[in-house]
Amino acid sequence: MLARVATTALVGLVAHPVGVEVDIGRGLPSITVVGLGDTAVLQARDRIRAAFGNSGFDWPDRRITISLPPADLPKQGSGFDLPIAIGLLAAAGLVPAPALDGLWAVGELGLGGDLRPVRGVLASALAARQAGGRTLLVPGANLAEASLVPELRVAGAGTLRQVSDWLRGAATLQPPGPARQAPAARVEDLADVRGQPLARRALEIAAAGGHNLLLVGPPGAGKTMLARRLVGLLPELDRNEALEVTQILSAAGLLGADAGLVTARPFRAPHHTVSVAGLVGGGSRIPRPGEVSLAHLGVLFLDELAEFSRTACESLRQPLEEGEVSLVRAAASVRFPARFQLVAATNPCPCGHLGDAERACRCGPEEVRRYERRLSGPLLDRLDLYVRVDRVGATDLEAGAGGEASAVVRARVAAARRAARSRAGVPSARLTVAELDAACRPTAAARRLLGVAVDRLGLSARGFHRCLRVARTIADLAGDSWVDEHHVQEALGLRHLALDPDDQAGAA
Amino acid sequence: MKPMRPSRPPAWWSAATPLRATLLGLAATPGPLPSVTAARLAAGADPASLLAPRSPDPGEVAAHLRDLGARFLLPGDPGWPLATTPPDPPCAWLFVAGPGPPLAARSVAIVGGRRASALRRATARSLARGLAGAGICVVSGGAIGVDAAAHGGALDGGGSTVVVLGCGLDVPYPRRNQELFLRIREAGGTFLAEHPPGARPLAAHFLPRNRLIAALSGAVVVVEAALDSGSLSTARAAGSRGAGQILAVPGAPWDRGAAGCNDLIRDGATLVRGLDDVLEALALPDSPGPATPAGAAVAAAAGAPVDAGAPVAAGAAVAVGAGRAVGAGPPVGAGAAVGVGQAEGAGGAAGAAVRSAGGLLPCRPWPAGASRAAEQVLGALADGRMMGVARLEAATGLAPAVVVSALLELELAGFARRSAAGAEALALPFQPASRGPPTAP
Repeated sequence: MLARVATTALVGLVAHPVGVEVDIGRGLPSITVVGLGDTAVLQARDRIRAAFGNSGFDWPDRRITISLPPADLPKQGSGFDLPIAIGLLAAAGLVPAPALDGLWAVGELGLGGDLRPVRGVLASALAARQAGGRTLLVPGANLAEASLVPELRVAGAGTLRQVSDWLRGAATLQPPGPARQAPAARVEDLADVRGQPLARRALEIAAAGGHNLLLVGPPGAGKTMLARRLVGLLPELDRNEALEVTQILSAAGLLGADAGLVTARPFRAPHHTVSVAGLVGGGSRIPRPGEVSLAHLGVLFLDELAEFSRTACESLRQPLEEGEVSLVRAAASVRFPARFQLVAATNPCPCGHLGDAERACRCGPEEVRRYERRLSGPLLDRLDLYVRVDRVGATDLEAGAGGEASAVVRARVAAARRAARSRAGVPSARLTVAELDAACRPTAAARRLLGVAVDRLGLSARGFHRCLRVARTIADLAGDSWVDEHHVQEALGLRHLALDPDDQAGAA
Repeated sequence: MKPMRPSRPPAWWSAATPLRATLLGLAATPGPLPSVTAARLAAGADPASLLAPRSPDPGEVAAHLRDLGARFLLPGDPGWPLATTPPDPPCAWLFVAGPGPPLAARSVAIVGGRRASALRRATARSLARGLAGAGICVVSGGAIGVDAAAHGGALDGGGSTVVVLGCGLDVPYPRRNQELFLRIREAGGTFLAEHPPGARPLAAHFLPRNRLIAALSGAVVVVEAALDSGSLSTARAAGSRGAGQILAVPGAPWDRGAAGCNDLIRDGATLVRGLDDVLEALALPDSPGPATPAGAAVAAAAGAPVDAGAPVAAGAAVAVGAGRAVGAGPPVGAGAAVGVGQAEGAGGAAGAAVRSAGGLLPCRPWPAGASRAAEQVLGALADGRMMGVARLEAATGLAPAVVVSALLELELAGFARRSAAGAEALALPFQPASRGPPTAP
């Protein structure tokens, strides 16, 4: 007898519809899975067999063939356990076959017959709805995630026995609870930061214009603390953005059990030993999202920028420019969104104390120069803002916190972002060189100052454009429609400075 | 006397090998410090006995030197620059590229650290420019920092300069100065080394190198020296020789880059307030120029190298230097300097202004519309220290944003520069009128 259930296979962030066909026929007892499954899919046989026995079902001792069409789509993971088990139940006549009409199912089976959560359920739900599915059956722990998709009936079960009872009409299943949000991670507030007026201002500008930021300073100056606070200055995610973020976390398997919609902007801080695959995504057969995608719509923080491998730094160019990464692997090629804001931090020299008022730097000029060369040029070009962070003096520490709270700054940031969007449709950081002049509208005085800066400060063409973008954001924060001289002045104060004072050519 | 047979002679050596070839082979032997070998030779050691089996064939070394455009000089050779001022420990040979260096009396060494402040480097540069304008050759060590500024200043002033290296003439060290070295070569400057071609710049090479800088110069001006600085060894070498003058550019007691200079001054070195102080210390004949005995001496010294190709080039280089010195008109040259000294002796503030304009400090007019904040910030930077925004904030009491905009103003006007390490002064304001330069708080 033949039974059919629908399920999905996750490729990248997108779930593709996959059928599950189970046939029980005459022949020696055997079980065969066909249709491009990976090891985890093949191991479904053993898990299902144990789960059947432990749930009190008789194992059909006949020739069992399981097919997962389309056969050319690669399939990965343990989410096929549940649909295959349901197919077997129906094929063995343990549940009525009509109950499987329009039923979609994903989930992993434990040997005891319990259902375990799987990754990518949000994508599965979107695929099921699009394909006109009637009901999506998921493990109970994935129910909150699945119910984020409107206009789709979802049901959550705890065990295979509950599933069979439900299919026979003998019991009901746990209905989805009210729409839930993932518990918001504690977002650090800017009000906790003592002193650091220049860095606070740079964070505000970065948030308002979507600018990437470079923090330079000795160890212990508070670079990480500042970077973490950028997230709290960004406007809250709208529902579509939150769905995107949730979907990525779900596909990466990082969405906890019972998690609902993730509304907090992500903050990712990969260690400097991260591999290229870990940073931009990868994997042997079907690529998984990397840190740049996990930071999508949030902040990617690279501490100790000089310690990251050159290939890792270079791999950031595509996501920084295009807002997504495309990865091609043997089994599939996928695109992951990766529109993050980059905050990088570096010591000014190998010992970290160059320019430190408290401790003398022990590095020779050549060491500083070599250190500077380790910072990837193409990456530095994409960091619009540069700010020196120094340790906070005792007086500021004693004075305690007292700066503005994140919420106050966030209101100004939101207003500036609205102004930028209504003018150009994108944050100022993403203005192309061609759009810059029209969008920035510098006054004659501002132009003159920029000209002088090119002459006297050796500002490069890229530095010039960075400065103009930043000045535009500064003007937006001030509510000015023109970029004036004092906006450019402030922007020039945030320009790149060479680590080595005798190597100004590399800076600006 | 025939040289004694070395214990383990290199293949090329025989009792018939001329002394000069033996010495060239010895000079090119990698390993022992040339100053140590020279001391042993001076103590009576036989050159051949010092040869090692690995001592290279002098014929090959000579061919390599010819390719480099360099030559091998021995004491007593025409053009040997250390005849009147033998260093201690002695110098047994020199590898020379470019025209022969002028007599010590017409040369001034400008030395200082690699990490000297921008202001002190600018001081070295303007001093060297002034000396070059007076027809004086500037000797230094070719390092980054003060040395590079001194050589660069000499070229800016159209003068000649001598680079005394701590490595082989063909070793590109420091890499950062290669462009400068090319300029020096094109301008007819001289490169000297005790080390054979190919010798690497080992740390042990630099102290012995400093004694040569001192020996080649009638005066050593220490522009910057921390307490443990190598520049002090150059000054000591000049002092111990007895003939050389030691001069030092002073600084505030808390200025680390001036600690060595201030020590030297306390111990009797001549304090340098401007170019005039240096020229005065040299005690040159009244009127410099191509026609004076001093000028002739330069030409004679330079025009007597070993190989035949060099005299023309050397003579030309000296002529260019002298020609510019005369063409530039007052206030260059020793005569003019004396005039300035008299004016200063007679007058008050005006004299001081003239003196500072005379070339020591990198001064420039203060822009008319400059802000008060810029003036305060430059005041805080005036002793040459590099200061970050946080320190400038503490020193001036200005808000950080105001400090940053004041720095931008100073940068655009050419008075300061910024790097990740902090801001530093490049120049100080010069105002002949009533309002003086800003003072440090």
